[in-house]
This record gives sequence, C-alpha cells and structure tokens, in this order.
Amino acid sequence: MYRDCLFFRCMAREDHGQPIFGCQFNNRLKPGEPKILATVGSNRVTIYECSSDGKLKVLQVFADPDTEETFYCCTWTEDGKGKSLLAAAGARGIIRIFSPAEAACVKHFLGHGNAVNDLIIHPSDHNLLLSASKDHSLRLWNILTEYCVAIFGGVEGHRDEVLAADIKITGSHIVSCGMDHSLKVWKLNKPELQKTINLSYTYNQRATRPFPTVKENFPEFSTRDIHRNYVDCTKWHGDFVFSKSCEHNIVCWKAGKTFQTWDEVNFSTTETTIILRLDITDCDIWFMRFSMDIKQNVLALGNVKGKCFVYDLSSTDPNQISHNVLTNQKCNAAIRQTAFSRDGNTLVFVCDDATIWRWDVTNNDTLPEDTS
Amino acid sequence: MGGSTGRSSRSSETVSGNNAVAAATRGSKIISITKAKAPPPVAVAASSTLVQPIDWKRRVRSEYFSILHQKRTRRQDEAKVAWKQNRISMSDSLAEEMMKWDKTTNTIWMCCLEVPPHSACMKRATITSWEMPSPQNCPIRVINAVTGTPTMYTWAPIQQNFMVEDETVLHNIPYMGDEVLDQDGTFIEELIKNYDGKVHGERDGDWIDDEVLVDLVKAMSTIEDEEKKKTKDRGRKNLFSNEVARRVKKNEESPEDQLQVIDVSDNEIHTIEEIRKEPEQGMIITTGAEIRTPRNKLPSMTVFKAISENFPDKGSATEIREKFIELYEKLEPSAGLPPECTPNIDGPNAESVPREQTMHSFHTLFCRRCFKYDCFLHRLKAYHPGPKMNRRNGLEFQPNKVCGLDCFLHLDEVKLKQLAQLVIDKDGDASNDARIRKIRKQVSQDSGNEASSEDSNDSTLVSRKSEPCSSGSGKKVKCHDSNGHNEKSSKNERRDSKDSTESIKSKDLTMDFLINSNSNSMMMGPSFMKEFQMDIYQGWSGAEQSLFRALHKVFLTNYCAISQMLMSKTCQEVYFFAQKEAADILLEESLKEFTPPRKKPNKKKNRLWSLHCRKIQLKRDGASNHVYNFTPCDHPGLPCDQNCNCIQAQNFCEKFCLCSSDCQNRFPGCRCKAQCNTKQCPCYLAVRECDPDLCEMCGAHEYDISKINCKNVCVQRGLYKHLLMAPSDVAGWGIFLKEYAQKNEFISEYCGEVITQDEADRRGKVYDKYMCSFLFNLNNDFVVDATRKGNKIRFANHSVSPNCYAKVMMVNGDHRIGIFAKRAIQPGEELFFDYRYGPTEQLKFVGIERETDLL
Repeated sequence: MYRDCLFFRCMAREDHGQPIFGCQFNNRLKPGEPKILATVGSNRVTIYECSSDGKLKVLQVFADPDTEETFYCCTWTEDGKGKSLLAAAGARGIIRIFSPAEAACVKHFLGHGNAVNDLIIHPSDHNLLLSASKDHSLRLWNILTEYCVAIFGGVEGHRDEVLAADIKITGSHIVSCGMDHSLKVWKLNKPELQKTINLSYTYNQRATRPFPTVKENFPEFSTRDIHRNYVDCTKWHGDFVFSKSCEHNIVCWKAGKTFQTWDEVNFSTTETTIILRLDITDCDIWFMRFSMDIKQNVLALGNVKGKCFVYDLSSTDPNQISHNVLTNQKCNAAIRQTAFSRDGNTLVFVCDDATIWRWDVTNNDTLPEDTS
Repeated sequence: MGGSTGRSSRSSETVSGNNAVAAATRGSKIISITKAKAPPPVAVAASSTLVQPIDWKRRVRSEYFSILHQKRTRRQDEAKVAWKQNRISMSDSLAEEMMKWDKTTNTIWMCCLEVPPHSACMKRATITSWEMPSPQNCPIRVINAVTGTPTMYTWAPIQQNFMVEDETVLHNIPYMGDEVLDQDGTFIEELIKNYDGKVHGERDGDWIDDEVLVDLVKAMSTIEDEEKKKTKDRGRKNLFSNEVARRVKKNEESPEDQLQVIDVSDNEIHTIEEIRKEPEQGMIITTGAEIRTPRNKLPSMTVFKAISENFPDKGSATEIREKFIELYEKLEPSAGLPPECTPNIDGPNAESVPREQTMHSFHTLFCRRCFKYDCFLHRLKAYHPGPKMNRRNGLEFQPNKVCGLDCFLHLDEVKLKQLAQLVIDKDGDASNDARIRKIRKQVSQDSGNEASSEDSNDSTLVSRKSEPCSSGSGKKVKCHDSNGHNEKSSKNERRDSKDSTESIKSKDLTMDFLINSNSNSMMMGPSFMKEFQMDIYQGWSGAEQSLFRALHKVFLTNYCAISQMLMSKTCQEVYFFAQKEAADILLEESLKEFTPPRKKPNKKKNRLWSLHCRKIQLKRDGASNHVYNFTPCDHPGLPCDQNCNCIQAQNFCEKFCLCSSDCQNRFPGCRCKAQCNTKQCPCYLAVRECDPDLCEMCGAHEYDISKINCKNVCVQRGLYKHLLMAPSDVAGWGIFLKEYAQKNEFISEYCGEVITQDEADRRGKVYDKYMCSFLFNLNNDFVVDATRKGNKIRFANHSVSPNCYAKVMMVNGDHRIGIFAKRAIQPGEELFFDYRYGPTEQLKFVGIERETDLL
C-alpha cells in the first residue's frame, strides 16, 4: 500500500521560531522539474527545493517589512509565459504575488478588510485567484490585470471569518467554510460571473474605466449540519466535499440526497448526506489543514501532537478506509498543513515550532531506521 | 416504517444496476443490526396481543430505533454506491485534466539565486536540520512596504431598514484572539448565558429529525391499524404468533428489552421478514389514498402522546401532531399547497378558481404599508393589518361608447335592458349625454372617498337609483325588479339588495341561504359547473376564468375594459360569461363582512385642525421621553380610548390603523405653505415627516420631487447627499460629504437591521468586546444595527464636537433615523456625529466611544 511506503527523510527548522501556517508544493511545473516547496509563517515566505537526495534546500527567503504581518497561506501559480508565481497572504489582508525568477514581490492586492486565511488558484485558469478572509467574504481576483472580479459574501454569506475554500476541478463551484460552523457552496459558472471574468481580461488600469465587481450575496447552498464548530478546511473530492472542524474528524458529505447531482441542488435544499467520517485523535484546535495528492487517492492531516494521519481513499468501500500514522519522536508540535508533491512521492508537513518535515515514498531496500 | 422501507427499496432499484448483490447484503444487514440493538417491531406488536394494555411509549421507542437502524443501513449502502460512482467519475476527469496538463504546460523552474550586491549587509535566515552538519544560510529579501486598508467586515448595502428575527441560539462562539480570551475567561461564559446556554451544535436528548418523525408516525399508525384489526379477530391470530410470542415473553422479562440482544436463528428470520413485509405492502397501497387525505389517516392522539413522551424537546403531543401534518404536506408534493391558495394562476394548466384564491398571495404577502410584496420591515403580522374589507365604491368605469362593431352594447338583450331602464326612469330624458356626464362626475367624486357607506350617502343612493342605465349597467335595471323575483335578483349585485328596504331579519335569512348555497356549490366544485354551464365555460381556460373574477371586482360591468385586459376574449364573450357568473360572484360577495364605513372628514372640522393639533402636542410634550414603536390599532367597533394600543403607546393613530379616519387620536397633518422646516410646522414639531396623505399644502403629496416645497420629506423620498468613503482622518474608515450642506439639511438615513432591544443586548455584548458597534437606538422596542446591513453613513465617526446630529422621526408610521447637518458643511469634510446623543437620549453602549480609540 502506498501509505505504508512513506518514510521520514528530513526536517528543517526556520529561525523565526513562530508557527509555520502553510506549505504548498509547486505542482504547476512541467514533468521533470525539481520539487519546489513554499512555506509561510511569521512575516516570512521561504522557498525550498526537495532535492532528490532527500534534503530540503533553501532557495529564497522573503520577509515583509511590517513585523505585524503573519502569513497564513500561500499557493502557486504561473504567469503563462513559463515562469512560476507564488501568492501569499496573512494577518494584514494584503495579498502578495512573488516571482522567484525575479526574486521579488511583483504585485499586491488590497481589498480585504481583514486577514486572509486561504488562497486558491482556479484549476483551469491560472490567473484567477480566490481568497478567503476574516472579513467574512471571499474575493476572486484576476492576477494578470489586477482586478477584483467578484466578492462572495453579504446577506447570506458567512457570518464570521472564512477559514478555507476550494474550487471544483470543473471550475463550476466554490466551497467555503468558516468560523460560523457553516459550509457554503457558491456557483462560479453563472453567466454574469463568467461575463465579468472575461471582461476583467480586457481591463487596463490606465485606459479602461473600472467596471462593477460582481457582488454575490447568496450562495447556492449552505449548511450548518455537518459540523458543530469552526470549520477550518474543505476540499472538493469529485462531487463530494471533504471538510473538517476541530472535532477530531474529517467528514465527506454532499448536498441533497445521496444521488442528487449539484445541478439539482439549489438554495432551497437543506438536506445533506454524509458519505463517510474519518476519525483522528487529538485534533481539536482550529486552523489545521489537510491535503490530498493530485490524484485524490491519499489524504493527510496532522494533529496537535505532531502525528500525521494518512488515509487511503482509493478503497471502493467508504467504510473500509484504512489509515497510517506517521510519527517521529522529535515531531510533537501541532501540524498546521500538509502537502503532497505532484508525483505523490513526497509528503511535507509544517508545525507550530517552525519545523518542516519531509516524508518520501521509498522503494529502496535499505529503509531508514527511525520510522514508526 | 412502511413508508421508509418502501422508499429504500425503490431508490436502490433505480440506482444500482447490480442490486441483486446489494439487496442480499442489505437484507442480512438489517437483521444483523436489528439483532444487535432493537427487537423487530412486529415482535413487539405480537407481544401486545398477549399483554394488555399496550405500552405505547415503549413501542414508540423501539420503532424509533428500528427506523434509525434501517436508515443507517440504507444510508451506508447508498453511500457505498455513491462513493464508487464518484470515484470513477472523478478519476476520469482527473486523468483527463492531467493529460491536458502534461501536454500544455510549459512552466519550468526559474529561480534567481544571484546574491544581491549588498548581501553582506542583509539579514540572513538560518535553517537548521539534524541531517545537515552545518545550518543553511540565505539572505532575507525584504519586500516593499504596503500600507493596508482599515479594518472592515463585509456588510450588505441597503437603503431601507430591514427587520430581522431574534436569534435565541448563539450562532457560534466568536474568536477574539487568544489574548482577549486569556484576559477575560468569563466573557464566553457570560455570552452563552445570554442565550440561555444555547449554542449552535449542542444536541440535547434524543435526536429526531423531520424525516424520522414522519416515518415514525407513519409506522405507528400502521401498528395502530393492525392493533385494531387484531383486537377484532384475535381468535384467528393465535396460530401464527405462538413462536413469536414465546420469544417475546422471554424478552418481556428483561427490563431493557430494546437493547436486549435477541438470538434469532435463520429460520425465524424468514418468518419475521415475511410478517414484516405484510404491513409494508399494505402501507404502500394506502399511501396513495393518504396523499389526498392525510388528515383522515392520522393516527390517534395516543400515538402522538407516546412520541411526545419519548422526545419531550419536540413539544407536546398536539405540537408534534401539527408538525407532522405540516411535514407530511411538504414531503408529499401532491399534498403541497395550503387549500386557500391556488397552485398556478397562469398557464395552460391554471385552474378556474374563485377570486379569493387567485388573490391569496396578494392578500397574504402584499404589505399595505410599503405597497410591495414581502416587505422586509413589517414582517410581523401585527404591523400590516389585512385589507380593509369595506366594499369599494365608485371607480366604476362606465363605458361611454361602444368599443367596436362587436361590442356587447350592440346586443339586443343589452339594448332592451337599457330601454327598460329608460322607461322606468322618471326623468325620461336620461339618455342625454350631458346628464350621463353629470352623473358620472358625481360618481367619481365619490370614488375619492375610499369607503362611502350605504347609510350615510343616501343622496348618492337616490341619484344612483334614478341614474339612467348608462350603457352596460345591466344590474341597475334589475335593481328595481329585484324585490320578489328571486331568480333574477341572484344576478343582482348584493349592494343593491342591501340598499333596498328589506328588514334585517330577511337580510339575515338571505345571508344564511347564500352561505349555504355557496358552501354547496363549493363542495360540488367544477363538476357542478360542467353539468349546468358547459356551454359558457367552454372556451374559457382556467386562467381566463380566474382573471375575469379578479378583474370583475375592479371594472364591474365595464366588460369592454375586462375584455381588453383579458386580451383573448371579446366583450360579448365576457358579457355572456358575466351573466352566468353573476350568481357565483354574488355568493362570494355575500360572504364578505361589511365593516362600518368611514365618513369622509368633514371639511368644517379642518378649520379646527390647529386647535386639535395644539392639544395633542401639549399632551405629547407632557409625556415622558419614551418613544414606543407604532403598531396599527385594530379594535373593530370600539373607539380609540385608553384600551387602544396607539394611545397606550402614546402614539398617534396613523392611516394604517383600522379605526375610523375621524379618530381623535389621528395626527391631522400640517397646512403649511412654507418649507415645513421650523417649529411652526406641526409635523416638524412632532418630529414627524410630512405625510403625503395628510399634508397637501406643502406639496408633500406631489409625485414629482421638483414640485415639493416641503423640506420635511427627505427621509421618505430618499433625498440623501452624495457621500464618499475613505480612510478617516481620525480612525478607521470615514465618510465624507461630496457636496455642500446647509445647516439642518438632511444628509442621510442611518439604515440597518431592525432588531429588538433584547437582541441588541445580546449582540452588543459581542460588539463591545470587539470595540466596534453600529447599534443605534430607534425607540423603546427596537434598535437599528448597521453591522451586517447598512448604508455608507455607518462609517461616520464619533466626535464630541460633531458637524452632524441624528434625529429619529416618524415617517409614515415607521421610526427612522435621519442624520442632519448641525452646521454648514463644506464639500470634502468628514462627517461626525455625537454617538451619545441618540434620538432617545439614551446611552445604550458604553463601548461606542471606544471605537475611535481602537480604529
């Protein structure tokens, strides 16, 4: 089994000593390119290379001049001309776009009225960036033309901090979750929104007059029945949604009845169907995020005690999902986020004590000794 | 139970093609689970044949567990199928996506590793690791500084207040940052206490959702039926229940029989399953009938009582019963809408329904204070009284000329009636055009008065009776031969028969008759119509028929106008239809209650307005500072005295009250010719905006804003100033005036959610902690909260020497907050007002002042 082949390779400790809240692999690189990892914590953004010899090699370190800044999240994208871009944001609500090729912050976006908790890139349009904020709203940005396309929030929007969000692989829906115990699904393929997205590409700061940002006050679907506490992470899994709260488990659910499709679900739907629950121990603080590999076969979530639970989702029976626990004697701080490399062979997680842990799938006969 | 099982088997068939296997596993699973937790319900049912009386409570309990287990098992099976399906479709789309990605991507890793020239003086980051003997070093690149924007939480812009309900369960525990929580550990505790300990997500007692409830009641009803059957022919039942009875007897001995593990061998499973199937199938058959008459199939109160005992948090037996009926109607789409509203009033499938049904949505959802549907301010029923059921008078459009060659006025029948009328008419020369015009004028004068009465306008009546049969008013003709000719009088309008000098007794008799016959015809429904009036109703679609009935009330005998509105029928067709319909309409009308009519205020009385007004003003000045919310009074037949809610709340009666328009407690309005912006104006003095229905001299009633002299209508007309939002010179965000404002000029209304004082106390607790509050006292009952919904003026900051002031005004029956210029304000100035001087001079939140410190 895949999850059994993971072995600890190395760790690294950043010198700021603050929690590292986010880590993301650059999964937009061509096959054959190195495995690039970014971590955010304190006022730092650090870029590593997961070298083939099992090490974490520091490439670049950026710091915000404002010591009040704490970066909470980051995500990779590209400029369409072959160069990678890294977006990061945090406590001050300013979204920064870094270009590793130029070793600089090339763009920034102002707009959120408070901290940004999560950043997501549209799966099929690398210029569209979705941000989830403490100001109770989500914003969709066009990075290329630096335009805020849409704001999701208001009348029926989140009532407290939005902690996480995800865009469906088809680009049709957004799922967001937050402190208000709710999960909301917003439609992204509405004609009005699509029109504004297209319009945003023609926008030119100097030449064109601004056009109105879409203000979406009403989600397509909203539920508070899945979790009974802050919902701090959510991801699409086909038509299902995985989400977690600080209640020691991850829930896989869908809106409506078991076999209703998303097209049949609308704002009047109140029903939800829970497909499965994955239990985890010691996971009762919020802002702990799980991640899945690109094929969505494996899901990894860390707990408060520094243990990482890896679930095998490839099983055909949702009641028979097996898991493995990755432990290391020296890893005992809360794991904030996990990340899989594109090939799925490297798992990295970051902890409250400013440490980064790398685990690899190894086919070597000589296995490292210190695995659990 | 029956219903749910039926559904489960249906859905599994439709969904999984390989259900042969699934069904097998499911069957065994149901039993294994029932085995583990609850005895099969039939076993219990059998037990009751031996032990009397039946313990309903315990039976409900076992049935409940049985339903839960069934549901769980079904859910698991479905989940498995759904999971598989989802995995397959997902991996397909993922594979496709990855293929595309591999082909199209051209991003290669480019990273500037050049060491900047000034690297020697750059701070360096150190990354340590056990594996590496020496730590890694990397220069820290400090990025450009960016000034952020002030804090702001998302809010929805509104231009009018919005009433929201109280929240009695804490939505979620707010996160204030670890520091706040550490400092004040009791805060969250207190907050939860404010909500009586209720926070979202805390379940107490046994959990039962709507679907389970419906299934449970259905199952219990089946059991009850069975029970009745059994008591009837118990003798015959003895045969089969022997074995089960033995088992149950054994089971009875143990105190916790629900949790008792029953060892069921394979043979017995079959018998039990067979037994179980019986009621199920029966249920499936009966559900068809049930859909139509759910009330008839309701189980007895014993069942609901037993459910209520098991789930006390769901309320009393009666409440559960109500809830079930409601849920049942919702779950069964065919039993959907309440009987009084029509499912569809348009389209080919529209039913032909009485006017009341067509207008149901209008009557229940239309706000008579805002003139719109689903108004957000007067959500409570008490705030917008229903229609005044007074009969409309006047507005009777008489067709003065024929509408075309085929106009119904050319019909011999109609002409004859006109002639007959002419003969009866004393004046004789009534066909004179001038005469008609004169009379019409009289009628239209009347129409200005919404409800002129039968008894008060005798003169009108006389003139009406003598009114010539202006074209098309067939009813007028019959007015005269109505006495005695019952059949013809049925075509007559009720008004006329009431006007006639019949004794009260006979009137009552007629009423009774009408009510009876009406209910009869309702019972008979369409079939009755089809039998007797096939010819006329043919060619009229349901929508047309319904629309005719709605229009007839407005246009009366103006069939040309009705025909124009209908568009699909000529006025002749409409005329014939109306003749046939007349009887029905009469019946419908007769059921309506005639409220005592209101007299038009006497012109003479207006001369006394100032006196009256001064008196009221004195009364108000003497009153305490408390201002209560206005709720229209409705006490039919009683004058507005100390029992009237308006007087009790020291409010004027408003035009929305159902009291008579000459009620002494009504505000008379002003008769200013000036701008109504001094205390000379009684409206201004009473802190009221001029009422377009009362104040006509100042132009408050003008539609065109440019024609209005009055400066005291700004809130209702939304004449706010252009405001600009920008980071404040003082703190956080601020609001700036784009244009110049004179002293006392209206700036903007302070809009937000209207919440009760209790709700404001609860919300305020959190706002105080965040040190940011948008609460504004509206009156003794309500507070405006601009936190979630509001308008730009919410960003005006607090100052002790402000340039604006706030004033709560009574605007057409609603209290609204106006922000006015305290002095002349130049364009570009930031706006401030003193938060402490709320309209009611009550300092609601001490936290308000702190906002400036924080932001």
